[in-house]
Amino acid sequence: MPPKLVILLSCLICHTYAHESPSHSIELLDQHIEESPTPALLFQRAMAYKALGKMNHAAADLTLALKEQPNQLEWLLEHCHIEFARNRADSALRTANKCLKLAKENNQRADIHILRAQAHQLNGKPKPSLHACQLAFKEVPDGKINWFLLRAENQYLLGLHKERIHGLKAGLKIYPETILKPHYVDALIDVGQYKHALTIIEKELPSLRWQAHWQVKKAQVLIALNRQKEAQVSLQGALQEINQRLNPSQPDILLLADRAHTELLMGKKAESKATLLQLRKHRAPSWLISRIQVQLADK
Amino acid sequence: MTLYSQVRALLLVLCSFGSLLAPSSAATIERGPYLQLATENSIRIVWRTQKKITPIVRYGLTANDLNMLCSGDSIDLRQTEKSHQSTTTKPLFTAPKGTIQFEATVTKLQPDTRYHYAIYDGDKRLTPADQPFTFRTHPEPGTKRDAYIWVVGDSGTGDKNQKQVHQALIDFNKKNNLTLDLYLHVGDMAYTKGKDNEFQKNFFAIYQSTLRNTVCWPSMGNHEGATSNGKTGTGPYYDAYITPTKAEAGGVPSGNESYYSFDYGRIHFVVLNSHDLDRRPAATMAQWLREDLAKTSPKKTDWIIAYWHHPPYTKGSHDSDKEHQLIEMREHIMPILESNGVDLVLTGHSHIYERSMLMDGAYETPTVAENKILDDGDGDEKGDGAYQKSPGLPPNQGTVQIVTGHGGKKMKRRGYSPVMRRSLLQFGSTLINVKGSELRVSMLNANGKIADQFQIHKKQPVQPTRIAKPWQPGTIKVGKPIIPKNALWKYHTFSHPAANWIDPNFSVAQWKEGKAGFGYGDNDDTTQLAINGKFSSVYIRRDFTLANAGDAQDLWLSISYDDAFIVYINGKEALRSGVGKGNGADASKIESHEAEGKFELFHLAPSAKLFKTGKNVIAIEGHNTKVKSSDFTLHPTLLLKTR
Repeated sequence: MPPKLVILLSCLICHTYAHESPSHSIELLDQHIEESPTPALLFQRAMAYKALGKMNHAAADLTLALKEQPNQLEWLLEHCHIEFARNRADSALRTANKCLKLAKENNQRADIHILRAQAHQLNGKPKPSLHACQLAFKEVPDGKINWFLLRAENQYLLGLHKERIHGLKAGLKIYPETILKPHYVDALIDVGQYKHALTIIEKELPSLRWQAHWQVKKAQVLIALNRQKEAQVSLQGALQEINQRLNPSQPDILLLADRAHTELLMGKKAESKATLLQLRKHRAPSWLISRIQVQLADK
Repeated sequence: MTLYSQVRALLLVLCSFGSLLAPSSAATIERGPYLQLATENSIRIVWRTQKKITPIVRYGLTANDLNMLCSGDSIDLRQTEKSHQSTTTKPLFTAPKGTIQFEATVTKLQPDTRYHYAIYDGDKRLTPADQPFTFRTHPEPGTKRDAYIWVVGDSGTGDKNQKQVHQALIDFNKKNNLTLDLYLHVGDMAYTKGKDNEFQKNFFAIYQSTLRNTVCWPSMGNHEGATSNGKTGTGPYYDAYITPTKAEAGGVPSGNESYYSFDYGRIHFVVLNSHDLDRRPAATMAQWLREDLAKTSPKKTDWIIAYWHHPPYTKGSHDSDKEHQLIEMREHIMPILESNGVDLVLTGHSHIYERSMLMDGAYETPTVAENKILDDGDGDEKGDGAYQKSPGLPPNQGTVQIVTGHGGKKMKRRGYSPVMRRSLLQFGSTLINVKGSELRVSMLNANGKIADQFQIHKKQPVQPTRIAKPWQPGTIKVGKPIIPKNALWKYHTFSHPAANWIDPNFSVAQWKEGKAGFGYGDNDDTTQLAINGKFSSVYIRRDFTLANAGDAQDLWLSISYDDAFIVYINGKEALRSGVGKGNGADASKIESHEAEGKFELFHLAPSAKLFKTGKNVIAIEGHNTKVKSSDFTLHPTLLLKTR
């Protein structure tokens, strides 16, 4: 069959399957791929496998498609995401590096640097991860909220606290009143700027229906300022609120992390350890539990 | 220079010379005007032209007195990258050559006030004076005010189904003297790839009369995701919409155009991107969601409505127990929403209308209903009674899920989700009326009929209790079989019968008789048909008696089938599944479907008028996708639900 006709047919088939459920698309694509395994069809089937969470199958099809058309940026980016989902950081990094060579626009390059930073982070390498973040900011200085968070997390792990505070503050100038704020307060607490942190916390609390997350931060500060009694009030309120809202079988992991932290600050070490175990069971990311882990070890 | 390029250059010179001499033709509006990002004191008005104009929006409190002006720096101009001049706005990602998109910001408006407006090129009016162009500002956040909301999903086909659904709304509003306050779209508004021309043809052209008077608050579907990117906020979807990233209309700033929140009176709306952002519980979107809901105060808010594209619960054209994005929205996002007291979740993606019971905490995969349902009634004041929740926004008091993916794209059902109270294969849309402590929801089908309705009341404190064995759609145990399993049927195969075979007077005396099910392969058929490789259809018929024609409202077809079928009642088509087009010998676009030994339920109430008291005739044609298919099954039963 002439190549142009194959491409045209592939496009038509892809169009037909765009509305089908992934299982159904795979069933139908199987037949066509058996007859004529074009890269476009393989990519389409990879996406259907991805939608079903069958990442190994998706990766296999994408690898075959990319053998035929190695410079398809969109496919390479998908490959990178699938490798992340398979926890294969090295492979994701290799693919992201290939993407970088093909990307033409600043936005694209910046996004790819962030993918590289995530791959390094998954490998437990904060230094190259931070470097990749900085390259992304060079491409697009305003960045995105998640870039600021990723950079700050790397800086925390590398002990670059001043840079972390500076970076988050810069982020809050571009994205005021966003989720960067609680991370900024955490950074202030980590370097001992308790009074500054407390001012922000006190200002924030009245606007909140659910206060547990910020009450835990407040308690941390109050304990550091040796105001134990006030801290206990904050912690008791926080624990009550968390327990009221927490679904026991499928908890919201940020609420669960707040509970672990609250228990720790209340001196309930065994309870906090048990909550930490639950967090691990629910695959909480390291940035969420690393502080609790460290403090539990210290105590 | 080649001959071709010489001719081209000459033509270009002639064209530009010609345009200098020719009198300038009047500018016309190519897209819009349409409304975006309303707040209590501002609104954005967007339109496109193909030539430069002196853009002015004139507005006022009556159509005859547009005495206020929006012009100059209050109107942003956007063009594709090569022509784009502004440094403060993004260029358009794609648009036809020469397109200029105007985005006017009208400010200093009164809250909850209707204004009339018109678009001008200098002194020349571009919008017709004989049609209504109006907008209404939002009430101040926290103000008690009724709200009437239209919700559509998976509509962007540009075909007659989509148009019918829209027309049904227009007719319904006219008949009931209603004016929309908000239009929510749960995604897939521009098939197939969300390209600029698909937006134009399948969204703006179809909904023009609504969009010019009502703000559409969008969420991105997977089809828009083919050309638009939620991470970067680029693509035709982001060209078309202006969404709040800085909490302009309430809530917490998201910093991202693809997810956001806004307030309308005492309702807080949360819009999520289920397509191309990290959906995990510690990702940026989930962190923002928690912050946003933590700041949603019951002092100013009575209701929380969340919407996005991929449904956490569905068995329509998609399966929420199998698909990654749907599972993640259920497992990761629903716990956050329910622990913050969400009332209603609206989604699409699955081409069907499904509506749940009042439920909480059903996060497992596969979905189970046991101990997750707080009220297993139909939620209707005229039936089992409205769902009850405590006043305010208490956590975990129950959510109703609506999959409203029936806005125009061909529908399909793969089964029944155990949490759904209604599952309808009818084109339509969802209407929400919020009146103080009552939230009332209706499904308006494309024929203008209300096919489902329920209400949530928040009038007095409620102690929710979990139901160990709630109502189940797939197990009508308290039901009377009108046609039982393995019943005797007349059947015909190896050739197509005469066209009038569905007529009650048609004689089937010559047809064979056998017990259901009919088919081959899979060892699941009582009457074996040796048609493998020879013929792909079977026709069956029989009589049955209905004591009362009104019983048809509670009649269900329970059927095991592979691959597709059409049901006729007393000579008229009542239902089809998997047959895309035509019937009998002309049946085409047959879709694959495995019986897997299961019986699926289809409510026959929408065809109730075809039934009569006494003797009725049911005729069913079954079709396989291909003659050489490895299996075939047709095993129908008819159940009268008595509970």
